[in-house]
Amino acid sequence: MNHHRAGRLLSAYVDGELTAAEARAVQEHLLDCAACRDAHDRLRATRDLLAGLPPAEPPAEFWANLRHPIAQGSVPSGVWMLRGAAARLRAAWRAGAWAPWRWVAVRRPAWALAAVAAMLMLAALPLVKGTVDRLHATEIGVDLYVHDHAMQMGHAPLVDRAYVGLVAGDAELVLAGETPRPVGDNVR
Amino acid sequence: MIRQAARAITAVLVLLVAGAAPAAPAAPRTVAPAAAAAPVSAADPSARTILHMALDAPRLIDYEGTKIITALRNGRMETVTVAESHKRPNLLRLEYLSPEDVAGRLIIDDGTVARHYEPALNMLFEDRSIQDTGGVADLTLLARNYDTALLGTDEVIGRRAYVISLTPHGTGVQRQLWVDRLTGTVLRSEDRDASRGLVLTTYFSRISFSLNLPQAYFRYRPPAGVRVVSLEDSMAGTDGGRMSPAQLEQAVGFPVLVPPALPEGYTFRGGAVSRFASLTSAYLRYSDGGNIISFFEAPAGSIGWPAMGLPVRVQSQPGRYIDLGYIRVLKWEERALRITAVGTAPSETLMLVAGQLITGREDLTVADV
Repeated sequence: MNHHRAGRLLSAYVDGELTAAEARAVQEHLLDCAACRDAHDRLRATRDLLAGLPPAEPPAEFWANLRHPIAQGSVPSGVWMLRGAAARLRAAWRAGAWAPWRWVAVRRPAWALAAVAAMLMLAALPLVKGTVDRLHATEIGVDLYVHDHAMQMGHAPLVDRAYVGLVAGDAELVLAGETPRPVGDNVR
Repeated sequence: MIRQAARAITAVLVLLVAGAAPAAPAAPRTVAPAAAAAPVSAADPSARTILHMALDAPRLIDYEGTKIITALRNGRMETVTVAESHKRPNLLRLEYLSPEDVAGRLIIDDGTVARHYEPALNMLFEDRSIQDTGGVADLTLLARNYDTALLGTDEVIGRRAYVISLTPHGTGVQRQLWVDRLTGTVLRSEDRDASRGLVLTTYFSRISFSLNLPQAYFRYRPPAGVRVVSLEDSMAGTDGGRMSPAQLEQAVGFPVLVPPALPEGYTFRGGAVSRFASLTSAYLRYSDGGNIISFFEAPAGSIGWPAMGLPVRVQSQPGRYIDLGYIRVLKWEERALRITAVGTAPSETLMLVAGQLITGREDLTVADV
C-alpha cells in the first residue's frame, strides 16, 4: 500500500471500519512509515480524548427558557427551534465539548476547511438547484409554452388532432431533455 | 407441374392483393388550389348545417385511415404521414408513419388522458387529452367571428364532399374544409395565412368507415423498462383553465398583465397556472372561436431568453420573435415580467397586442358567449 492511500485510510483504521485485508495492509505500511505512524498516534489520541469527554449538560436556565415560549405559544416554531439550538451550542461551548474541534481546526486546517465547505455546499444546494431549474427553464421556455398552447388548440373546434399531437409530441421530447426533432429531408 | 402450381398461387395472391387495395384512388401529394369541382346547388344544405355535421361526426362515426399532413415548419413545408383511428365518442389512436424521426410515435387518447409513446427512446408521456371537450362557447364565437360559406362539392378519395370556408372577420388563419357528405368526417382541410398562403393542409389518402374497431386497440400497455414522464399536473387544479386574472394573480403571487385591447373577435376565455420544474407562469387564453392566442407571464428572473428567433423591440423593450411556421412566438419583457405570446395570428397582430398589457383588471372575467 502506498503512503497516500494509507493516509486516506488511517482515520477509518483507527475507528476499526476497514476490512481485514485493508487493515492488514495499513498495519504493514505503519511498520515502514514514520510519518504515518505519527499521524496514527495523533488520531488515536484525538479519539481517546473525545471518548473521555463527559456528556455536555445544558445550564439550569436552558429548559426553562426553552419551555416557556412553547407554553406561551408566543414564539413561532422556527424561532424557538433556532433559540434552542443556539442555547445547546452555547452550553456545549461552556462545557468544553468543542475543544477537540478547536484542536482539529488548528492542527488540521485543511480538514476544517473541507468540513466548512461541505456544510456551505449543503446549505447552498437549494439555491444551486433553483439556478439549474432556471437554466433548464431558459432552454425549455419556448417549447413549454408551445406545448401548452398546442394542448389548448386541441380543444378548439375543427383543429386537426394529428397535427396537434405532432406539435405537442415534439415539445414533450424537449421538455424531457431530449434533442429537438431536426428539420429533415421530408421538407421542401 | 410444380412450376404451374406456383404460377397459379402467385396469380391468386396478386388478385387478392389487388382486391384488398382501396377502391378509391389516393389524393394527389400536391395539394390542388382550393376550388370546388361542382358549384352549390339548391338541394345542398347550408354551410352552418355542414359545419355542425362535421362537429357532430366524431360522436357518431368510427373510422380508420391514413392521413397526410403538410405543415409549415421552420420556414419549410414538412410532410408527415399518420395512421389515424377513431372510435366514438372520444377514443383516438395516432400512429405516425413517416418521416423517419417520428416513425413509430404512438398517441392514444381516451378523451381524458393522452399517452404518447416514443419507441426510439422507450419513453411514455402522460398528458391531458388533445381532443375537443365540447367547446360550445367556442363554437358560438366561431359563428360570430367567421363567415361560413359553402363553396360547392368536390371529390376526395372517391367520396363526395361539401367544401366550406371559414373566413375570420379580423386577422387570423382562414380555413377550408372538405366534409364527407355521408358521414360528416373532415376528409381534407387547408389553413391559409394572409401573408404566407398555405400553412397547413391535411387529407386522408385512405379511409374506412363503420368498422368495429376493438376497444383494446385504444388501450396502451407500456413495454418493460419504459420511462414515464407525466405532464398531466402542469395545469392541474386551476379551475379547468377558467380562472380570472384576479384569481390567477392570487395563485401565482405576482401581478398579471392583461391586454387592454384585443384583435377583432378575440375574447378572454380563461386563465390557468402553468407549472414546470421551478417555473411558474400565469397563462391567459384568448380565442376568436377558430384561433387561439396564448399569453404566458413569468417573473423575469425565472426564465431566460431563447437562443433562437429574431431580436425585436416591443415598445422600446427588447424582445424576440420566433417563427416556428404554423405557430408564432413573441417574447418580451415588461414590468419585471417575461411575457410570451403564442398563436397562429400574424406577427403584426402579436406585436400590436404586445407592449400594451396593463396590470390585471379585476373586472375582466371569462366572457360568456
